[in-house]
Amino acid sequence: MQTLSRLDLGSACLAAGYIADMAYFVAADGVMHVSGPDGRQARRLHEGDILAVERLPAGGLLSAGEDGRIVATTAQHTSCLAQAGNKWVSALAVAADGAIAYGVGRMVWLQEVDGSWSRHPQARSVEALAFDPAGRTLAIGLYDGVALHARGQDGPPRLLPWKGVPTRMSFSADGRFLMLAMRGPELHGWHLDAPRHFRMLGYPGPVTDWSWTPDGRWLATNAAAGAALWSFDADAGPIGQPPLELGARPQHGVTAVACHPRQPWVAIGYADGAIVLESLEGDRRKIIGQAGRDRLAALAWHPDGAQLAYGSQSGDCGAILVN
Amino acid sequence: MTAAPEKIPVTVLTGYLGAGKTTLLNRILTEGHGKRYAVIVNEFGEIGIDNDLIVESEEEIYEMNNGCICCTVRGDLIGVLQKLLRRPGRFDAIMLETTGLADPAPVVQTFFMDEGVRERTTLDSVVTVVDALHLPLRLADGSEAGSQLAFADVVLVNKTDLVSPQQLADVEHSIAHINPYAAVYRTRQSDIDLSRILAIGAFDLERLDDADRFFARDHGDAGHVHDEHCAHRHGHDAAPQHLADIVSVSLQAGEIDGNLFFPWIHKLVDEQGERILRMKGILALQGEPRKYVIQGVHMIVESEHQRPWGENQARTSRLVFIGRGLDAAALGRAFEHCQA
Repeated sequence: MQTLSRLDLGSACLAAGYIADMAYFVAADGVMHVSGPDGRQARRLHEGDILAVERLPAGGLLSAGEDGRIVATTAQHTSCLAQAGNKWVSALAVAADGAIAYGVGRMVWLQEVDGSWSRHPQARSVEALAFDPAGRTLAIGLYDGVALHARGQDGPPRLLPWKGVPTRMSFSADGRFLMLAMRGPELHGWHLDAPRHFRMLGYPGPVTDWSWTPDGRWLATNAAAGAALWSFDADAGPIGQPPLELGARPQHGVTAVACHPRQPWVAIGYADGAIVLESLEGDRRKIIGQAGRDRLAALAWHPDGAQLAYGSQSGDCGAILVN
Repeated sequence: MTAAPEKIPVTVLTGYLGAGKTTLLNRILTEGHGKRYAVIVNEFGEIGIDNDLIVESEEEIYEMNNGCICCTVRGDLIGVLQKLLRRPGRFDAIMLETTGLADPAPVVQTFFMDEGVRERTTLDSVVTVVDALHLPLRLADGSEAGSQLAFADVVLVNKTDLVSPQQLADVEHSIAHINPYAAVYRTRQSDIDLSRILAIGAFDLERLDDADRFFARDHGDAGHVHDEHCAHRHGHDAAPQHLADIVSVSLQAGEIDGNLFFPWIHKLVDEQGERILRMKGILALQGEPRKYVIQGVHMIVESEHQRPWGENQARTSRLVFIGRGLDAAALGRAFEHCQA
C-alpha cells in the first residue's frame, strides 16, 4: 500500500474527496483539511461543528454547521451563501446546475442559480433532501414520507407516504427510482413511474454510506458484513432481486464504500480500518491493506481513479495510491 | 483495550409555561458549578448567553418498534443527540427542556428505546417545575400538568411567595396525591440548590437498591414535605379535590416467587402499559440473595440484580405504580399471589 499522505483531523472525519488535485477531509469540529502536492492546509469552515456536507457539481463542497451558516468551499475560497439562524440545518442538497436546498425544522429553503430564494413549509421536520439528476425535482424526506417538489412551480408537492425517518436519499441516474436510507436498519425505495415502493431488509444496522457506479447500474451500500450492491438494470430496478454481496468480513463489517470512477470496482472500508477493492464482474479482489487505525467513515476516489482518500471515525485520514 | 466512555447524563426539565423553567435553566447555565451543559429546547426564548451550546429542536413524535415493545419517542432528539455526541468532550451533561404542553413519556422513552442513545447517554432525572399559584388550574384543565408530575423525580414548587400557607399546603397535597415519591422542594424564583436536581441518578437501578431513601417516603420520612395528614395512597383520597385522574399505588409483600412474578408483570405492562406512567420496585426473590430492582415507563420495563440483602435487613418486597385508572386492590391481590 503506497501512502501519499497521512494526517490526524482531531475529530471524526465526516467526508473526504478531491478538489483539483488535492485530497480534502472534513472534520466534525468544523475544519476542512486539505493535502496536496503543495503541502497541507487547514481551513475553518464553521464556528462550531459541521452538520451536513454535500459535493458541489463544479467541484468543492457545500456545508452547514452549528453556526447556522451554509458555506460553499472551492479550491480558492469559502463563501457564506446563507445564514439559517437559530435552528440547526438538518439536510442539504445540490442540483446539477448548482441550485441548492437546505432544511431547517419544517422549512425547506431553495436557492436558484440566479441567487433568488424561496421557502417551502412542510408538515413535518425535514430529515433529508435530494435533487433528481435533471435537477427538476426536489425530494424532501419527512417523518412520514417524501414530498416531491417540482422546481420553479407553485402548487402542492406529490406525496409518497411511508412511516419512518429517512437519513439520506438519492435518485437513480435515470431518475426513475428514489432510494432512502432509513434511521432503522433498512433501505426504502420508490419506483416513481409506477408508483410503487419497496424495502431492503436484512441489514444489521442503519445504512450510513452508499455509492453509485458511474454508469448508474449499481448502488453499493455499507452496514452489512460485506458491501451489498443493488442492481438498477432491469425495468423494475432492484425490486425482487437479491443484492450482489462483495468483500464480506463478518468480524468487522463494512463502514464505507466508494465505487471506482472508471472501472467496475468498488472500494470497501471496514470497521477495523482495512480497505479492499472488489470487482463487480468476477471473483477478483485486491486487498489494499490496513489504511486507518479505526472505523472508516469516508472513502473517495480521485477522478482519475488512481488515488483513494480515506477518513476514519477518530480523524485518522490519508490518501493512497492504487494501481 | 480502552474502557467505554462514560455515558453523558441527561436531565429532563418539564413544567408548564410560566412556572419557572427558563429561570432555572439560566441559573444552571450561568452558575459556576464546574460543569458544561449542552441544552436542547423547543424554542430559544431568553435562554443562555453566547458560547452556550443550545440547540433548538422541533418536537417530532413517532412510534418506534423495538422487538415486542411499541411506543412513542422523540425522533428529533435522536438526531440531535447523534450530532451532539460526535464530539462529546465539549460538554459534561445535557439539559433537555420540554414544552409546557408536553407529555413527558415520549421523551423518557427515547432514552430506553434507541440503541444509539442508550449507548452514549443515561437519563439522570425528570425535574418538574410548577408554580404554587397556577398548579390547581393546570391540574383541573386537563393539560399535561398531571403527567409531568407523575413522571417527576424532583418537583420544584415555585413562586411560593405568591400564595398563602394554606394554598401551598393544598398544592403539596395535590402533588403528593399524584406522586408521593418525588422529592418536592419549595422555591422562589427557582432558587433550588442545584446539587438536588443535577447528577442524582434517579433512573439508576443501582441507586434504586437503596429502599430506605425511596420507598420510605410512604411513611413520612425526612424527605417528605407533607404534614402528618398525608394519606394519598392506595386509592384513598384525603386531598381536598381530585384535581387530576392520576393515582399512585404502593404494594408490599414478603418473598416473591419469580416464576409467578415475571409472567404477571409482563402481562400487566402489556395489557395496562398505556395507563402505567411509572413503576418502581425492589423484590426479595425466593432463592436469590441479591435484591432485585425493577423500574418501568409505560410498557418498557428494565430490571437487574443488585447488592445482596444485608444480614439485618428484612427481605420485604415493594412495588409502586403511578398511573391512570389503576385498580389498586386488584394489583395488591395479584402481587400477594406472587409471594413464595
